[in-house]
Amino acid sequence: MLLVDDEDDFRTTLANRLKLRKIDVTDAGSGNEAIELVKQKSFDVAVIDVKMPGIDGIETLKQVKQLQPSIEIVMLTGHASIKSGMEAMKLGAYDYVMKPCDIDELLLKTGDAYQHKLLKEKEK
Amino acid sequence: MTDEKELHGYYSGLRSKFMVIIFFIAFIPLMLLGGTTYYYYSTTVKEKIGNELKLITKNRKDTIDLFLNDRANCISVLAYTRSFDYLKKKENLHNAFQLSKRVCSGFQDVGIINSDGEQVAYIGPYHLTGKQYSTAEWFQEVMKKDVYISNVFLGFRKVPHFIIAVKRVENGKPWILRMTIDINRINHFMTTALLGKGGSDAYILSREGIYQISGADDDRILTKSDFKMPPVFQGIKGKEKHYGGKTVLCAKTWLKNNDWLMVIEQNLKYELGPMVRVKNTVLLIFIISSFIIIISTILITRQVFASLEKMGLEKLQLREQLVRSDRLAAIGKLASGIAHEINNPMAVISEKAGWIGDLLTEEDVKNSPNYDELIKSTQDIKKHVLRGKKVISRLMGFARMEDVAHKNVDINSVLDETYDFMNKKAMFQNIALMKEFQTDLPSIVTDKAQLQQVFINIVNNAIDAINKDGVIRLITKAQDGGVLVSIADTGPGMPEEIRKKIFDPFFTTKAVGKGTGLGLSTSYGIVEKLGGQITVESEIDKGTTFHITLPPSCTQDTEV
Repeated sequence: MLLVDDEDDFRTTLANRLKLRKIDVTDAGSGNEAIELVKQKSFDVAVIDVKMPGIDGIETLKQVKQLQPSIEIVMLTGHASIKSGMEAMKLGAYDYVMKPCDIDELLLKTGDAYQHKLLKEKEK
Repeated sequence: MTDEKELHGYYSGLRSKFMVIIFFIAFIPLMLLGGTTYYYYSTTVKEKIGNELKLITKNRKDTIDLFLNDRANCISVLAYTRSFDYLKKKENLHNAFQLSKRVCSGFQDVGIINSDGEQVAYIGPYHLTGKQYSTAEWFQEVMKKDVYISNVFLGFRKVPHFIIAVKRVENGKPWILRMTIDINRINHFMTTALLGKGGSDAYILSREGIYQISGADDDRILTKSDFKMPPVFQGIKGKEKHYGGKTVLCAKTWLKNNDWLMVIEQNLKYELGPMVRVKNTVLLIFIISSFIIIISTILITRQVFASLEKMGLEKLQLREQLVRSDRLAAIGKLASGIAHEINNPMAVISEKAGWIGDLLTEEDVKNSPNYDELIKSTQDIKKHVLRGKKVISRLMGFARMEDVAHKNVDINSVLDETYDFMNKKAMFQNIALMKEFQTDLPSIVTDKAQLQQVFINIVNNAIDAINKDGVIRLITKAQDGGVLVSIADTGPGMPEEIRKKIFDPFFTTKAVGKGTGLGLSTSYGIVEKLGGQITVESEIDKGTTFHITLPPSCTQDTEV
């Protein structure tokens, strides 16, 4: 799993918690870093924050999807409106989670995304 | 609303001032017109009467002066054409007297008096032959003046009369021929001078103010008049006098060589009938015009000020609404900025607490005596982060309202849902939720979900306001093609200061942690966005009513 968020404390803590739950997490502090990582390695699921300095979450989503169309993406949104989440979903994101998020909700949605990916691969 | 009361007071004051000014503007020319008309008319009438009176007076003066002169001449002719010795004889005197009477009327008797004052011969109704007149005033006067007309006196006969005496000197010895004049003759001239009816008077006074000719009232002859005697003047003088509650025109003139003053008085009361009629007509016109002016002024100012006040009130409400929208927009911007900034640290706090919670499951910490406390603390942190998240979420919702869905909506069915949703809570607090729907309500194009949020918000507030035992009425009514929804509660109501603030974000009267202060401001934003209007009426101890007007179709979504 690839975790992209510009807030270091949030990202590392969340990464640690996910690792504790036996999930292989790679974290990236910016959109550029994430794109670089995706170029090198393949991921099942990416969790991307919408609001980031530099390349924002939506842009990152587009580029990552382009590089690895099979990757499933869950957006993290600070905006409490459905609007940005919906926009991201139109662009190919699987789902979105509102920040501050409950770890269980995140696990549920990323789990769904992963299952979805497996299902799609099986269909092929 | 205090502002509205102030506005009303201001307009009422202005209206009163306006009315007074218009009254004066209309009344002053009216009064001037009426007053001058009456004044000029009455002066003209009085002048006419005065002139008439003067003419009559002059006529009387001339007549009486002529009468007296004629009599004096007649006696003189008699005295100078007959000798003392001739007239001494009774039959001669009788013949001469008869002749004189034929020439000039008004003689009563005749007498011949010698230089010693003894009446040597007398013809007339009294027995006056041999009477001694040497001490009489008229005898002394005539001895000095040759011709003398006396004042009225009683004399030996004890009857008011006056005499004309002529002195003739014959062979160096003076003798006197005198005749008595009938005062009724002159009185007749005076009574014919009386114009019209009662209240008029005509009389002659001596220089001393004694009645000589009494006019209509015989009793006052030879009594003293309280008429203020003027100095001698030429011609006729007229003047208006007021006494005893009446107004008289008075004309006076001196006659009989300025011995007698003739006075003719005319009571104006009987002569001014036409004037009174004019006065009444003018007064009537004045009163009718006044009525018309007053009524039209009141009607016009009332109408003008009613529309003025309405305009003022609309302006006031518009301003209130504008201020509120402005404030909402400004606070919305601020809120969304703050929300973004707070969201990230909240996320970090949440994760850190989660991480601590995760770490606490490690074996070595489990043995710590404070393990349970630590677990509870991380859970509390999570709980409160969640609470903060809710606030932020609503704040964001307020700052950036979701898009509006355009669907045909039956407001009654929306309220039915609200009813079903809230009824349990209301029943629990012994509050009756009542539906008073207009059944043939037009369906309107709007966003059902957002409207539902508004209704639930308001009903929820109403339940909280009533607390226990009360009624909440959900009323719908068609209005201008749209719908008016009223939600009325029997709660305690709220004072003006609170009523003004209830739509402000973060304003709440609920206990800390119970309300965010965003419900009504969000509702306000939603209704505004749907093209409607939300207003509130409240009376202390009576309750509060929210009115939501919704147009037939909500306008295209505009960013708030």
